[in-house]
This record gives sequence, C-alpha cells and structure tokens, in this order.
Amino acid sequence: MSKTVVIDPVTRIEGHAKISIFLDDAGEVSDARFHVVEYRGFEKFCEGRPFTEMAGITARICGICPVSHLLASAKTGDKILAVKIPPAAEKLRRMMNLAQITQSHALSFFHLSSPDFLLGWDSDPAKRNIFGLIAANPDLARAGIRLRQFGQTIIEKLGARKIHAAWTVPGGVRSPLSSEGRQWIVDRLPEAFDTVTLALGLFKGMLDGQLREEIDIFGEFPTLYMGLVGSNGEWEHYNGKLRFTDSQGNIVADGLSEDDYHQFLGEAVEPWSYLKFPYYQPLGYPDGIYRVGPLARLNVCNRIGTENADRELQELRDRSGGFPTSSFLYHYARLIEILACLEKIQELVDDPDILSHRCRARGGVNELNVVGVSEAPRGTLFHHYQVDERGLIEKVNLIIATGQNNLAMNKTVAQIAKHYIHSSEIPEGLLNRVEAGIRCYDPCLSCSTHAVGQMPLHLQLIAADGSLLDEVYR
Amino acid sequence: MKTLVIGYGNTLRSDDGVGFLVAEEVAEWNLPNLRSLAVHQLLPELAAEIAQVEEVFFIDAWEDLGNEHHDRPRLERLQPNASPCSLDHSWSPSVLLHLASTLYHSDPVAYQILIPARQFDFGTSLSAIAKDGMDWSLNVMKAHLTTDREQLPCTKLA
Repeated sequence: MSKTVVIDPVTRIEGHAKISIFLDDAGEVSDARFHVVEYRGFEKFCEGRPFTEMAGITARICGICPVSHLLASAKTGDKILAVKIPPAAEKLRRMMNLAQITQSHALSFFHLSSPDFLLGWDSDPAKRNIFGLIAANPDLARAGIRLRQFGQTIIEKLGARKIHAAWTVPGGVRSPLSSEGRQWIVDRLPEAFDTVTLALGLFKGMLDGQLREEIDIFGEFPTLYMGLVGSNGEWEHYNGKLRFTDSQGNIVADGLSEDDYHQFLGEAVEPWSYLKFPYYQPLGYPDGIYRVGPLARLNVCNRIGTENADRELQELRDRSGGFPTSSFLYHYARLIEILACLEKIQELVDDPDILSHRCRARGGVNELNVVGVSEAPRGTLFHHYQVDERGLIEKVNLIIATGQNNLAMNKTVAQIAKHYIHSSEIPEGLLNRVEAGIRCYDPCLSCSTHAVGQMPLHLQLIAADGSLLDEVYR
Repeated sequence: MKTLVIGYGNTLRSDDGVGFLVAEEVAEWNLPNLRSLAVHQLLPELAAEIAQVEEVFFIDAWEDLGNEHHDRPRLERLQPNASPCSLDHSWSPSVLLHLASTLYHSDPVAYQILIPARQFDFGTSLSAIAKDGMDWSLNVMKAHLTTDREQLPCTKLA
C-alpha cells in the first residue's frame, strides 16, 4: 500500500510549510514535495498605494529580512524618479545590506542550524536547539548572538530602528551615519571577525569529519546558479548585472538586466503550493531549475574582492574539486559571506563619504514601469512596479529569493528522503535530516503574522485511499 | 528599577500589530528607567536587552482558538522555559527569558499582556476589542510604572 508522510510544519524556518513524502507499495520513497501553505497577498495589497510607501510596506513582509525589501523597493523607486543617487547614499545603502546579510546569516548558522551540526542529527530533539548548543558550547552561542546583534545595531544606527526603517527612500537615504555610529562599528568589528573565524574553523573541521556524508546527500545535483556580479565579475549584493552559471562553472548567460527578467525567468505554479516556481526560461520548466543565495552568489562570481574572504572562497572551491554544487555547502557559503560583509563594512567605515550629508536626490514621476533588484541574504530579490502618472501603484510583482529556490528545495527533500527512508517507520533523526535539507536554503516564507498559525510539528501517515494511518505531534 | 517593554506583531495585519502599537506609545512617555521596543517578532538578541533590566513586559495579540474566545486582556507572570517547539521563526517570551537566564545569568520579573485580537487581514486599523485591550494595557502599565512598581496582580502564572 502506498503511503504519504507529512511533516507539518517544518520547524526552524521562517513561515509555515509542510513536507509530504510519498512511499510506494514497497515502502520506498517515490517522491517528496515541499508545500508552502501560507498565502501572503502583499502584491494585491500594494495596489493603489503611492510608490513612495512601498519600501515601508514591503519591509513588513518579514521580520527577518526587511532591509532586503527596503533596498529593492528604494532602487525601484530611484528608477521611477529616473535619478542617479549620490555616491554617499549608495555606500550607506550598501552598508545596511552588508549588516543585514551578516545578521541574517548569523541567525541561520548559529541559532537554527548549528544545533544539528554540533549535537548530531539523532540527538534528543528536546535538547537539539539553542539551549543544547549553549550547554555544549556556551562561548559559541554567546558569540553568535553578539554577531547577530552587531548586524542589527548597524542597521539601527543607520536607520534609527532595527527593522522597517523608512530611512531608505527613492532617491537615496534620509541621513548619513553619525560619527558616534561609525566609531561603534570600528570598535566592534574585531570581535565580529573573531566570531566568524571561529565558526569557519569549526565548520570546516566538521565537514572533514561527521558532516562529510551530508555534502553528497543534501542537495547534490546539477542546476544553474544565478546572482548579481559586478562589472569585473566580482561578488555583488547591491548593484551589477545578473549572471547564470551551470554546475561546471561555465557562464550560461551574463550581463543580464533586471529590466528584462521576464525574458529569461519564467514563473510556474503548482496546485499544491502557494509558492511560485521560477525557472530559467530558455531551458523551460522544470529543466530551468536554478539556485540563488549564498552558494549561488559565490558560484557566479569570479572573486569576492576582499583578502580573507577570497582566501576562504578559494579553499571552498579547492575542497569541492573546483566548483561546489551541494546545497549543504550553503552553510559554508554563509560563513564566507559574513566574512566578506565584515571586510566590506571595514572598507566603508574608512571611507569619508559615509558621513556625508549629500545622500538624497529628488525628482518627480518620470518612469511608469520599472524593475529593481538587490541581493537579499537568501538570494536575488526583484521588485517590479507599474505606476500611473501620479505615482500610484497599478501592479506589483515580487520575485523573492525563497521562491527561486523552490524547485531545488523540492529536489533536495526528495534526494534526502530517498537516501535515508526505506519504510514507513521513520526515526526522528531521519525526519530531522529531511527538514535540515530545507534549512540549507534558510527559506523565508513570510512571517507576516505571528499570532496566527503557530503550531507544533505535525506528522501524518496517509494511505493511498486517503485514510490516516498514523499521526505524530512534537 | 529598570523596566523593558517589548511589544511585537505586524502593524500591516490589523490586530496582529496591537503589541507593537502599545510599545510605540509607551516609548512616547519618556519615563526614566524605562525602555520600550516595538518589534516585528521576538529574536534571540533581545535576550541581551532583557539581561539589562529587572522587569520586563511582553505585549502581544491573542487570537481566538476554536471555541475559546477572549474578551478581556490577560496579564500573566512569566517564567523561563526552554520549550523546543518554540524555536521556529517565532521565539516565545519564555524562551527569551530562558536565554537571558542561561547566557547572561539574568532573571528579571517578567509579565505578559495578551490583548484579544479578532482580525488579521491586511490593514492598519484595530478591531474594537483590540483597541479596548490596548487602552487597558496602557493604563495598567502607566499606573504601575508611575507609582511604586509593586508586583502586579496576575491572571495566572504562565
């Protein structure tokens, strides 16, 4: 009798989702699906609003990565105004995004994923969390919180509030960094460098030991990778052009503009998920599967452009035989990106422009149909607005990073399930591995409400006739 | 005594944001030894803020569940708790208290005010019941913070 195993919701990711694992008559996994069951509807909500409000509105999609939406929205607003923002404004926006990537990656690595690494997949789930991590390695847990706090405080010092700061506006930013804020960053940077160096050493040691198998099982398959790169092919997070590479590192498409995204990105839908399935249009659906985010950004760039991060990138490539393709290495890529962010923040605090008050350009509504793009912690984020002559939103399309990894997340879940699950008796540690496959991508499925939808982990075994065979809560 | 108020929720989802709005208003009081944070959701670094005070209030929306309907706000004393199920995207107040206690050896007196909430659609207005709950919360906290700050009578110990 064929059966379906449902994991609902997946824990320690942003938002709400469930996983269904389909077993065939022999009890072997035939397929797996990652469902997103929360519907947002922000795009409809934005219609009729002034485009100047879009940054503040879209930032409230998520409490984890509001800065990403702030920046993408502000860049889209720049294009509606058709202005070139002052150099200081670009540097300040860059600093905020670097801080955002730092704090978001720190949450993912130190608080959500490292309990699995340090305590083991099969450890007691009641202890396999941040408190288990504190017991096992209190200094690391404390350092992880301090690193996240470092990124959050930079955002606060720039925008006056940690999240939803209306500091980033079409045309630039509202104010520069203060001298006091600059000094705070200078004083705290050494500790942040120490933390990421410690984490990198620890994680590489585990990849050489207890986590060696996961590289081959957690999302190891060929796909394309997409991300922004600079004019010389360097790592980018704010400006630049889009590049696709394949799983051998060959450049498939380069110099693509976000303005033309509809020519190279398609968006498929499936009846079993609210999350869209973007794909690389020239290869069709689903062959046009591509990945975005930390590993993709490292795979599309020629180099990062800072000394220590470039050395770590080279080691990642050397360890992977030249080109890393396993999604398990997203964790590794996150740590390298934190290092890159810290080095680039260091460069920015040394730049006198960062204190300049010439940080905003002004203009009227000059373009009516524009696309903005930036790199969010989880990957490339597109905002597409159509406005009327008064600047009121007529249509919005948001292509979020998590959606672009949707095909890869489904494939990862299926790969892990097929490797580890061989009957309807599924030990907790194996279920945890399936969930951890999703956590590699650190998906953000919107936490637009917190009061609705909180629920414990729910597992269901469902027979082919729809009858419930087993049900487990934890 | 230093007090921290943390109100959380999404102000674009109607009543979901009532805790956030309470915290914003408390911040306007500019009272000595009082800090008020309006946040989208509870995240681990808040443990470091909690560790710096002797008293903390968490303000949140309280949804109806099944046949359980809430008409009046609830004031609860909170204790640290390391419930593993609370370690998804939404950290609970008790987990943050546990984190503050474990990492920073700090155990402030902690309260939670739960405000009844009925509507979670996109929007920026509060339902009448959430508005009433917001007023009640502000009155209770102002009376407490501007007088002798004795321990508050609570509905229950959570």
